[in-house]
Amino acid sequence: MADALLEVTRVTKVFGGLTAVHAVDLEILAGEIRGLIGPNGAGKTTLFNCITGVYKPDGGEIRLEGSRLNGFKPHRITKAGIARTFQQIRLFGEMTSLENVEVGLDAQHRAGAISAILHLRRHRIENEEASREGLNLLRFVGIERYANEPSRNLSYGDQRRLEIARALGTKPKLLLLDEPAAGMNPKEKEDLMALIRKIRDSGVTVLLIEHDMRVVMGVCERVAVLDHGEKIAEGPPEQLQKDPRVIEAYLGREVAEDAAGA
Amino acid sequence: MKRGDSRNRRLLTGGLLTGVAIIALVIPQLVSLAAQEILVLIATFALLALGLNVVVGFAGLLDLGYIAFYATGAYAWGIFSGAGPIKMPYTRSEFWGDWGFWIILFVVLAINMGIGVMLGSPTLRLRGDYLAIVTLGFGEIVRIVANNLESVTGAALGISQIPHPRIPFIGYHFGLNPVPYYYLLLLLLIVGIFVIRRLDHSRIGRAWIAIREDEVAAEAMGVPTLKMKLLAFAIGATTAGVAGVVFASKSNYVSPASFDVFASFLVLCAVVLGGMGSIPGSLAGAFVIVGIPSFLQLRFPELDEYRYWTFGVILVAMMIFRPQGLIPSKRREAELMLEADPDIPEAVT
Ligand SMILES: Nc1ncnc2c1ncn2[C@@H]1O[C@H](COP(=O)(O)OP(=O)(O)OP(=O)(O)O)[C@@H](O)[C@H]1O
Ligand SMILES: [Mg+2]
Repeated sequence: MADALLEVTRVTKVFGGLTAVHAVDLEILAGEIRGLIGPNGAGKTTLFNCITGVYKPDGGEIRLEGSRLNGFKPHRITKAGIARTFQQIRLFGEMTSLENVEVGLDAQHRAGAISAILHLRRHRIENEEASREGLNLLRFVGIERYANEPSRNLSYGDQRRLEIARALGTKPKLLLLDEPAAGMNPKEKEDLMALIRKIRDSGVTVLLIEHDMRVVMGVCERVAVLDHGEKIAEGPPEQLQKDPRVIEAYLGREVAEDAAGA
Repeated sequence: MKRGDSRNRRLLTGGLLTGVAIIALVIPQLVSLAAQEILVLIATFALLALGLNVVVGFAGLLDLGYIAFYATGAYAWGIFSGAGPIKMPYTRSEFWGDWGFWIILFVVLAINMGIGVMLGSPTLRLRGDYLAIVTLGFGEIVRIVANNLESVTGAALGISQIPHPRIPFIGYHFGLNPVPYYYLLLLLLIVGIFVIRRLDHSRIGRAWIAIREDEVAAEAMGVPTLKMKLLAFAIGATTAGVAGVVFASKSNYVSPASFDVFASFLVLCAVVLGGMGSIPGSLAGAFVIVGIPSFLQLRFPELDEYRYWTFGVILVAMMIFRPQGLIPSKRREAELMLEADPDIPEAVT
């Protein structure tokens, strides 16, 4: 079979008595756009947090291109090639849009304090590269006109785009998007879908949490469904729409039985 | 913003800076001895505020025990100069006499960086309030140790007869005259401003602000947050240490009384009042916090009892009329024009 970029094996996360993620397996292939759906509280964001090292999983294994990431600090995981956006926007509000992206780009940079103080070559090259590539990324997501605007002044939709640009700055192999369409109007959602495809075409694999089924159907080739912390189904979106377990998870048992009987 | 706008602004700040620099250079020649002493005090505080601004203003780490690093610097010169209870293997008249001060000025960079990293490694994992409490405790511990460790620090009596600096080769002796200390502090300030400005405009400065704004997001964007916080802490600690060395050599005497919590708060006030994260703000804050009350006291000695009263009035007035600080950093300015946003919930979503 094709090489898996990300392998999540039996990952479990428990909060007190609540098992938010329970023995979830997930295999993401390089170059795909994978959807991750499920009702509220299903454990989608918690799974993201486990993958990115924000939470330490209580069990299971996470591998990127074959190497284990368990126990790495989040910044190490980012440098290993996994970047993310947040369901609730977490930009650096006082920094300009460009500076936000530059922080992401700095993940690739190595110049230390001495280099910065003495304006050594490495610092100059990297600093210059940060602003140039930062502008490129802002252009890529379509908000370069706000480059020098403090990021908290941006509209909701633009803030979500900026979060994507910032994450792309870290040069990820895999981009995790947590409900990027939340709060967007239909036009913005269209643009977002185009952007996600463009990201994939640029060589970045995408794992997308999304409640808006039109967006999921529009961009994802395959979708995994979580419910109560467990993966209950996986497959192409058209197929899942008819899957009784998925309908049950979303609508309850009776509706599911009615649908099956009809 | 229009381009011409920003150019005018740059010209204006350039002019302003030159003006301030010229005044700072010539002023000791124009004032009385008492006022010269105040100038030294202001310059010392400016150096302290400059360093604390990196910790609190840039990286957003509330350090309430900052003065402890000032103390370690002051005691370092007191002890290594041979004035303390520990006998050193050299005497003051020797080679050491001319060079010792300058060597210790550098050695303190290393000592304080070490102490900063040692203290920071466990505590900087804490966030917000916890860090404030731990640093508050650390500040007190250093003072209490100094107060009790008689064989090293001379306990409550402190260390006296600490030598003044000399300039090697030309043999110039700083002595009791405040003016050379003032110029030395000015030089150290310029070096400090240069270094900190350059850091601010690099990936390190960006990382600090990112941490201050949202530590979880910073970490997720690849910022090694603990390392960057340690760096901020160490820079603050070394700046304070250098100020401490000059203080000890100038006053010729150190004792634990100079390093109580109130001193930490005073420096913090200077940073907040000047504008968090703003270098010129910290300097202006130091001037307002120690300069104005001291000059008032000099001019109206009969009002001495009102000293803290003026201090309180300044603070309250600032909070009402200029909460962003005297010279806010551009980033803060933008933030305060908008409503404060609701707290980010604890869970990462
Ligand atoms: N830090 C935490 N502490 C305790 N419980 C948590 C924590 N984070 C998440 N949970 C719980 O874990 C469960 C899964 O939450 P999670 O945020 O992963 O759901 P989700 O699938 O992202 O839902 P939504 O679609 O609403 O974003 C929920 O019951 C939530 O309350
Ligand atoms: Mg979620």
